Amino acid sequence: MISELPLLTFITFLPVVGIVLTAVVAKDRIPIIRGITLGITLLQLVIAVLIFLNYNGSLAGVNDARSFQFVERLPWIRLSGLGIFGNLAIDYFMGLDGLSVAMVLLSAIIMVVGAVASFSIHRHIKGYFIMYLLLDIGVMGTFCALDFFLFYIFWELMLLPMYFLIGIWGGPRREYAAIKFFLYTLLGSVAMLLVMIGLYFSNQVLLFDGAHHLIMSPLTHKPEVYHTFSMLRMMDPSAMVPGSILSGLGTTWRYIAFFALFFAFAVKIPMVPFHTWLPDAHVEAPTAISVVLAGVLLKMGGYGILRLSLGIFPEIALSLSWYMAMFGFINIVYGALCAMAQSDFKRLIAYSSVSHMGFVLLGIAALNSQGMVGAIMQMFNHGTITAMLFLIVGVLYDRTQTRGVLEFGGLANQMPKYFAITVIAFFAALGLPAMSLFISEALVFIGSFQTWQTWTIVSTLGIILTAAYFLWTLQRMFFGATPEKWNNLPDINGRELASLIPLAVIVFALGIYPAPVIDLLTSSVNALVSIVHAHGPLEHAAAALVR
Amino acid sequence: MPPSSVPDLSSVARLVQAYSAYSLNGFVPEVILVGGFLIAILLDVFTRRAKSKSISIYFAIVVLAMAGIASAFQWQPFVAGQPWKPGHLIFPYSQTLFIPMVHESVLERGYAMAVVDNFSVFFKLLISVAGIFMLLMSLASQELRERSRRLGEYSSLIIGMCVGLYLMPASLDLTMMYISLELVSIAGYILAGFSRDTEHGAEAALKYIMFGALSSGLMIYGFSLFYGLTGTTNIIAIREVLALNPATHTGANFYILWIATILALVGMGYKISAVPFHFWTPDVYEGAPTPVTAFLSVASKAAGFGLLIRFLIFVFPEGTKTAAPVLDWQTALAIGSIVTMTFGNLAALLQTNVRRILAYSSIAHAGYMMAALVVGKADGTVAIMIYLATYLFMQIGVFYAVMLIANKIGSEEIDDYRGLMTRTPLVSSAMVIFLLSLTGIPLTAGFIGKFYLLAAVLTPDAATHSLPWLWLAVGVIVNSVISLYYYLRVAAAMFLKRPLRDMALERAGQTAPPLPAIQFGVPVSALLLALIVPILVLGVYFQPLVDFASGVVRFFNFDNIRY
Repeated sequence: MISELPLLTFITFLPVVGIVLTAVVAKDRIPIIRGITLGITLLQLVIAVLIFLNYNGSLAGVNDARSFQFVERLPWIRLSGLGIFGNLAIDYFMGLDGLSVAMVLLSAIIMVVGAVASFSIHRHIKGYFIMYLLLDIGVMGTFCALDFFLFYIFWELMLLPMYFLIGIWGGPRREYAAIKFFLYTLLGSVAMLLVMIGLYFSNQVLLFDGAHHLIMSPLTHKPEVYHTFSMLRMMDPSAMVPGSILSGLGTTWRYIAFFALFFAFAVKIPMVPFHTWLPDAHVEAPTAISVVLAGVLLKMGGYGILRLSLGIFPEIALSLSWYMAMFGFINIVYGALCAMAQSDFKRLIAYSSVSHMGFVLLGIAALNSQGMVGAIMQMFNHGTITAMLFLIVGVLYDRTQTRGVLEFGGLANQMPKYFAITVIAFFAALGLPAMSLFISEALVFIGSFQTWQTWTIVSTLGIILTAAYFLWTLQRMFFGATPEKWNNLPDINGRELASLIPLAVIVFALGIYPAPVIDLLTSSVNALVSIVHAHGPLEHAAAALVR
Repeated sequence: MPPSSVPDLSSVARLVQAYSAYSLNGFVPEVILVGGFLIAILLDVFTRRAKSKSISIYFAIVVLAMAGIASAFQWQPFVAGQPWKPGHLIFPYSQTLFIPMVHESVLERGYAMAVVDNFSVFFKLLISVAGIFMLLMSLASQELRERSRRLGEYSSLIIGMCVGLYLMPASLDLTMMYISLELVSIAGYILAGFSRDTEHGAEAALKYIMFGALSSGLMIYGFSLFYGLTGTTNIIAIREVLALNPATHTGANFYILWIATILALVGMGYKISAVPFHFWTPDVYEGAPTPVTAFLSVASKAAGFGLLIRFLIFVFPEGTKTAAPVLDWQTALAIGSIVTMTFGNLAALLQTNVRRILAYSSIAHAGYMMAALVVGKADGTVAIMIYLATYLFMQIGVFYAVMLIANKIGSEEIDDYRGLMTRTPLVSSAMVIFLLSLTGIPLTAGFIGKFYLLAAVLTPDAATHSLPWLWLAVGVIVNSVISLYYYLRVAAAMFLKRPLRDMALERAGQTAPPLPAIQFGVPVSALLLALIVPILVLGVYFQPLVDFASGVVRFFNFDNIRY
C-alpha cells in the first residue's frame, strides 16, 4: 500500500514546504527556522526508510520500466512538432531501482546530518536554510528522475544554492571557490545538455493518450511519432531512429557523445584532472556544506556514469573501460599523495575524497557485478564516512578557527571523546576490517582484479598511502605535546556527537553485516552488467585495446 | 522561361487598385499608432501646465495596448497543408520588370509593400508588450523625472518608433524595409539623446547617429544593387528572379550579389548590434535613459531579427549548404555569429559598469540568436522567436533592476553594488533571477530559449545524418559558460561582497553602522514580479509559448515554398 503513495514526489518536494515556511517566519526566530529544516529533513529520512523497507530487491529496473519501483509518470510537456524538431514529449517520470535507492537513502541521512551541522551558522540564517532546502530538492530529484530533461533540471538546480552557500557563508577565499565550482560544473553540464539534445533527436516512440489510444496526427491521421527524453528509451537501441545521429553501435558520434557526457560526470566525481575545484570548494565551504558536498554531490557523478554513461552507451563504456580503470587508479594514488602533502586538515580530507572516489571509478570499470556493487557501496560508505570526517574538522575549526594540522598536538589528552570518534572515523576511512569501507573496497578489488589486474594491483598502493596519511595525521594532531594556546579546548559537545554517532553506527553495522544494502543493489547491477556485456565479450574488447 | 500565356495586365491593375484601398484594413494597428502619435503631440501641448506629466506616458500605454490588441485580431488560424500565402497585403503593386506574370494573380504572390501574416503579428505583439513594460518602467525612472517637461515628446516618440518597429518584420519590399528601419532609427536617435544635457547622453546620441547613418547608407546601396540585378525591390520577386534567371547570380553578377547581400546585412546587423556593427551599443546603452536602453535592446533587436529572418528566408529560402542555389550565406552568418557572441562575452568580462556589462552581453545574445538564424528554416525561426520572447522579460527585467538601484544609490558601478543584498533583498533576488535567466540556467525562461536554440543548431542534416553546425553549438555553450562569470560578478557583488565603505571603516578601526535599507513602493515591486513570474513559469511550463511560435512558423510552410 505504501508503495502506491507518490513517495518520490514527497521526498523530493517536501523542502518546498520548508522553503515557504522559512520564508514567512520572522528573521529572528532562529530556533524555529532551524527546526523547520531539521524537521523537513527528518521527514525525508522517514520516507527514505519507508522506501527502504518496502523496496523489493529482486526487481531489476535499469532499462525495464516495469521493474522500477515507486514509479510516478505524468505527461509534462507535449509539443506537436514541425520541421525536424519533431514532436516533443517530456514526462514527470520518477522511479527507483537498485542504482538509485541506496543513493536516496544516503542523501536522506546526509541531509539530516547537514541540517544539524548547520546549527553553527550564525549569519543570514533564513537565507541559508532556504538555500539548503533548495539544494535538498536538487539532490533528491537527481536521484529519482528517470526523464533526462527532468534529471538535467534537478542537476542544475543544485548549482545556484551551492554557489551561494559557499559564497556567502564560506571562508576567506569563498568567492573564488564558489565561482570555480559553478563554472566547472556548468561547463560539464552544458556538455551534457548537448548530448541530451542529440539523444532526443535520435529516439522515437509512439505515445498513448489518457484512454490508451495511440495519439494520432490531425494532419495525416497516422500515429504521431514522438521524440522523448525518457532515459529508458534512450537505453534501448531499437528505439533509435534508423540512421539518426546517435543510432547504431560504436559510431564516432556515439564516442563523441560518450566523452561529453562522461566529462559532465567526471567533473562531479571528481576525476583527476578535473578535480581542482574540489579542494577549494571544500576548504571554503562551511562544515555542513562540505558534508553535503562530499557526502552526496560527488555521488551524483558516479550515479550518472552508472545510469547514463553505461546505460545509454554500453558498448563505448565497454571499449573504454581500460581507460576508466586507469583514471580510477590515478584518482586513488594521486588523491592519496596529495592528501599526504597537505597541512590543512580540511584540504587533506578533501583529497582523501578524491582518492576514495577513485575506487568508484575502478569498480565501475570492472564492469562485473562485484565491481559495480562495490562501487555503489563505496559511494554509500564514503558518503557516511566523509561526512564524519568533515564534521570532525568542523568541530575543531569551530573551537580554534584554524585547520593547520601542524598547529595541533596532544589533543588526545585534551579532548578524549573527540579523539575516540576521530579514531573511529579515521580507521573507517583507511578501510579497517569490520568497518563499512573495507567491504566496499574489497568488493571493488575483487571485481576489478578479474578484469584489470594491473590497475588493481597498482591501486592497492592507494590503501597503504591512505593508511599512511591518516595515521600520520592522527599522530601529528593527537599525540605529542599540546601547544600552550590549546590548553583549554572544550571537548566535543552533545549536538556534535548526535550527528556523528549515528554515522558511526552505520559504519560499523554495514561493516559487519552489509547484506541489507547489497541486497538492494544486486539484481539491478546484474541487469546493468548484462546490458553492457550484451555488446561483445569483454575479453575481446580488452584484448583489442591491449594490443 | 517562356510565358505560357500573357495575362490581361489591365485587369490585374484594376484588381490591384481595388485591393489597395481594401488593404488598409490590415493596417489598423499601425493606424492606431499613427493616430496616437498625433494625439500625443496635441496632448503635450494642452497639458503643458499640468502638474503630473505622467499622463502622456499613461496615454502611450493605452495606445500601445490598443495597437497590440488590434494586432492580435490579425492572427489567422493555420490551415493544414496550405502553402504560405500572404494573408493580407498592404499596398500591393504590379510593377515588376522581369517577372513574367504566368502563374497566379499578383495578389497571391505577395507583391506588396508589407504583409499581415502570423509572423508579423507575433513581432507586433512582442513589441507592444516590450513597449508597455518600457513605459511602465519609465514611470519610475529618476532620469526621466528630472526632465519631466519633455515627457510628452518622449511618449510620442515611442509611439512613433513603434510604427517603424511594427512594419520592420512585416515588410516585403526593400524600400519598405528601409523606410521602417529609418523610422525606428530616427526616433531612436532622439530617445537615446533624451538626457542630452549629460555628457554620456550627448555621446550616446551622437554615436548612434553616426553609426546609424553610415550603416543605413551602406544598406541602401546594397538594396540598390539588388534592384540593379533583379529589377525589383520586392523580396519575393527577387527570389523568383534569382531562381528563374541564372544570369542574375552567375559570372560577375555572383560577386555583385554577394556584395549586395553583405551590404544589406550591414544595416540589419547594426539594428541587432552584431559585430562588427556594434560600436554604438555600449555607449548608447550607457548614455540613454535606462527604459530607452531596455527598449532598444529588446524591441529594436527583435524587429531587427524579424526583418533579417524575413529577408534571408524569403530571398534565399533553401537554407542548406547543398541546396543553396545562389549563395552560401549560412557559413558567413555562422562566422559572424561566433565572432559576435565571443566578442560580446569577452568584452563584457572587462567592464566595471553594470550597464556596459549588459550592453556587451546583449551583443552576445545577438550572436546566440544569429546561430539559430544560420539554421534558418522552421527550426531556426521558431528558436529565435522563442528566444526573443524569453529575452524580452529577462532583459527588460535586468534593466529595470539596474534602474531601480541607480535611482537610489546613483551609480551603476559594480563596486557600488556591494552589500545590496541586505539593503534591498527583493531587487537583489530579482536581479539574480534575471541574470541566471540570461545565462540560461534551468527553471528560468532563459534556459528554454537556449535549449530550443541549441536544439535548432544541433538539428541533424536530414540528408547526410551529420551535424553540420556542431561547432556552432559548442561555441554557444562555451560562451554561455563565459557569460556566467560576468553575470555572477554582479550577483557576487550584491550577495557575497561587503561594501567598500565598511571595509575602509574597519581598516580605520571603526565599526561600520549598516548602510540604510532601500525601500520600494508597491507598484515597483508589482512590476518586478510581473517580470519575474513569466520567467519562472516559462521555465517550467513552456508549452504555450512553443506552440504559439510553432503555429507562426507552420504558417510559412517551409517545406513547401513555391516558385
